[in-house]
Amino acid sequence: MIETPTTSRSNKSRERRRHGALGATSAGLCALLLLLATGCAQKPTCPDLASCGGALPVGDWVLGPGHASCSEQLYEPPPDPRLAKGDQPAARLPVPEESLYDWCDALIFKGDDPQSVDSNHVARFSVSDQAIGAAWIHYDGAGNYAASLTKTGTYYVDYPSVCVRGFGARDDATGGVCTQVQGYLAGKSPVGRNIACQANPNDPGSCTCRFDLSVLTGGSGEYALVPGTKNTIVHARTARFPDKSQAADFPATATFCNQGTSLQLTGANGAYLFNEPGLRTLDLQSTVINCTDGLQGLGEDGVDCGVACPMPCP
Amino acid sequence: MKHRALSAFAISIALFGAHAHAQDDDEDLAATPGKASDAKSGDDGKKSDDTKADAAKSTAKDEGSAKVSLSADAKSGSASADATADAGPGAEVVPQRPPVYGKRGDWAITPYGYARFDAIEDSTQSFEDGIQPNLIQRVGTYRGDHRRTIFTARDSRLGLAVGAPTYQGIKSSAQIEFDFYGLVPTDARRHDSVVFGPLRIRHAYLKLETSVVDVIAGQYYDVFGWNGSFYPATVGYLGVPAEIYHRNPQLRIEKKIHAGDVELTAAVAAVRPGQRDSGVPDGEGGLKLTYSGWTGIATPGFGRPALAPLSVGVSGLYRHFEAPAFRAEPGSEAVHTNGYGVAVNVLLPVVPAKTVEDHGNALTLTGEFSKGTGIADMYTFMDGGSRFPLLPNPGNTSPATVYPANVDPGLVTFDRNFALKTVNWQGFVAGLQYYLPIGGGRVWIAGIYSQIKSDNIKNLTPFASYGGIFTKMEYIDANLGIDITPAVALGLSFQTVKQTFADVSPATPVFGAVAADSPNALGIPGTGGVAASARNNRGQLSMALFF
Repeated sequence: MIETPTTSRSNKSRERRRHGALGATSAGLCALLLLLATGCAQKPTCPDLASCGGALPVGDWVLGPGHASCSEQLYEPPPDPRLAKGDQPAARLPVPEESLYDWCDALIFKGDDPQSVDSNHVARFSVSDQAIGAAWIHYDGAGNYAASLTKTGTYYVDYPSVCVRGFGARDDATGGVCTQVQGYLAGKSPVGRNIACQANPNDPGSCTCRFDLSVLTGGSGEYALVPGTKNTIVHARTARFPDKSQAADFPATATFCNQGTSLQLTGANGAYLFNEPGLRTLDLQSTVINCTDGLQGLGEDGVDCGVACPMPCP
Repeated sequence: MKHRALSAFAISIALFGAHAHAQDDDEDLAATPGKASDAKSGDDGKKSDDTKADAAKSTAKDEGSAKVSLSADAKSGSASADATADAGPGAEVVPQRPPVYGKRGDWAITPYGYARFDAIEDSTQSFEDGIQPNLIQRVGTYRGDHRRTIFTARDSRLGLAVGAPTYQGIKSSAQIEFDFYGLVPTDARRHDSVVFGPLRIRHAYLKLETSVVDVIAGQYYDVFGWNGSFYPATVGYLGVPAEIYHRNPQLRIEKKIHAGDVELTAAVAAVRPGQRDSGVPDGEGGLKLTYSGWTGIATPGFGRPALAPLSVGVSGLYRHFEAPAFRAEPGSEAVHTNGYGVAVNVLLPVVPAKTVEDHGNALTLTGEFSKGTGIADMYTFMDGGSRFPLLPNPGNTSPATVYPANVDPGLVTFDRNFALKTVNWQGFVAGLQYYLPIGGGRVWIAGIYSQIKSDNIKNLTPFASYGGIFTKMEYIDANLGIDITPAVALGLSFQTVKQTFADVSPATPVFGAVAADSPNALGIPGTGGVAASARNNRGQLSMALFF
């Protein structure tokens, strides 16, 4: 075809239109790209609870039937327990290669010493498995709080035969090696209850130990309503449980919904509640602490005394 | 002092110049008609075994090098003069390096590659550019709950394909190809690692084709998985999770047998070992059957569509591992084990196409099934999180002894009885690509589903590290590609990938109560809850110009 000024003009305008369409398509695709990823974030394991605010939650609150906690399934690689700063190289030495944990969990049972080499640590569980099964939160009217959070659950630790028998430990009059391990662990692990060790049928000679875990954590400090909000409180911890050691911490904010008989707490803006790793929400019910029943109950450090009672413990 | 330094510098330059000249001379000698190489091959033909004659020839060659060089210089000088005379005064003279043999025009030297841009939006902060099988960040963590944006041009490629003139029936060629995913220093800033993009070798090999067998020597696609022949189409990066996607330095022998439209390719290769200190190269082999009477269109990744015949491939890999015994002082005690893998690949043109120019309505299925042990590296950087365990420290020594691993992680580890074991993996990849009947197939859609899992990685991992390994990984993508021009492609992709970790949530606790003092019977460790998992979603926009 012979190109005339008219056909040339129409070709050019067609080309312009095509290029315009291409530009619009590209812009549309970019927008779609953003939408695709933005709208598809992982769903939280622990959805936010209500944040209706209400009166300051003065009183005592506990978990109970129908009132649960929710923690994210985090995973933090366990550190090498055998050496302080074991993951840091000495000068001029290469960084140690990343490793899995020790099959023996730092416990090796010897023939000449039926106890282990060293085990001043609780048998190590996967951090992600821990859930807050019991909680007691106390707010007073003077801006002080105490949060007693107990990690509970049933866990297993599996010691291969090479760890319990490979270094000389043998069945003897005091019982089989697994019984010896059980006795040893019961003495070393104050947070593990109902420790029971048996041979793993899949690995004769080994010991699999079951624990009911009960780890107290939390702390006490001051709390206040975040200025400018009606549903967010900030907790400033000054002492850590269970030893009540002084330990200042970053302030932890939480949204709340106090409906009188129930209190819902959610870490604000994705933060963890009370700075406890993984803890996102607590759905609590109100309770009454009895400081005159002659028994050590919730919130009491002794019989009818302690944080929740008018009387301090001697 | 200064003068002395200057003189030393001058002498160094002079010596360096002389050395460089000497190298040039050698090259000229080799490159010149030489008649040296012709004569030598003639000698070879005559099977001259007279060592004295060889030695004499060698001496003559050495002595003659300067003369040859000079004459070559003179020759090139005169050629230049001729060229100048021919072109007329003032014309630019382009000096040319003489070919190694034959005429310059008989050598095919073709640069190729593409410039590519990728814009990626991830829902977590888990990955670099490609979806590699490293651990996805979990929900509830900062990196698991926040997005990441990646803009990169590092997947651009540059290559050179070289074809030498056929010599005594031997057809020889070579290929060198780079991208920009070279290793970056560990202390490099993010900006530098992306914007500087150091070079990385993808291919560097030579190929000899004879009437008997073909030989490939150098870094090239692995035979295992018949890399390069069965790739699915995707805008995302290859290899996708569960796909065998690997290149290796190797010495490979191939034989092609034709019978009508059917071609059978058999290949065996000695390959860089998965563990250098095993002392034994990996062995790979495979058979590939193609039927060119039934062809379709296949696009490897985000490449260019090409005619692809109906193909089926089977391949295998065998490797050896040898590591120090798992103890503080292993002496020279070694423990051994072996790894292997098998793979089956298929490329099925469901709706065939006749030409690349018009492949509208073509539909092609690609599939791969693979199974093996100790072969995690074949799946592009995969290790599943597996590592060697910490060494027990019965003597309570400080510092604690570290196991001197001599194998890359993820291939082997020590089990609960300190025996060296390989990690098992089984995967499959299914891909479908359809070319819409628009503009001869210039618009295409494609999707992939893939899955890989291990049945023993959990058993090979101590309890406390369960959260650091995954036992299963699933990947799905959906892609749209548009050829803006025959050389420029635009692609849009959505990719979702999920990992299932080895740790499980505890059974729901009885809220409000701590553990009761009533021991129960032992259960099965590591079970009873819901396995933790994590997912990343990705949107990707890519553009590339192929040349």
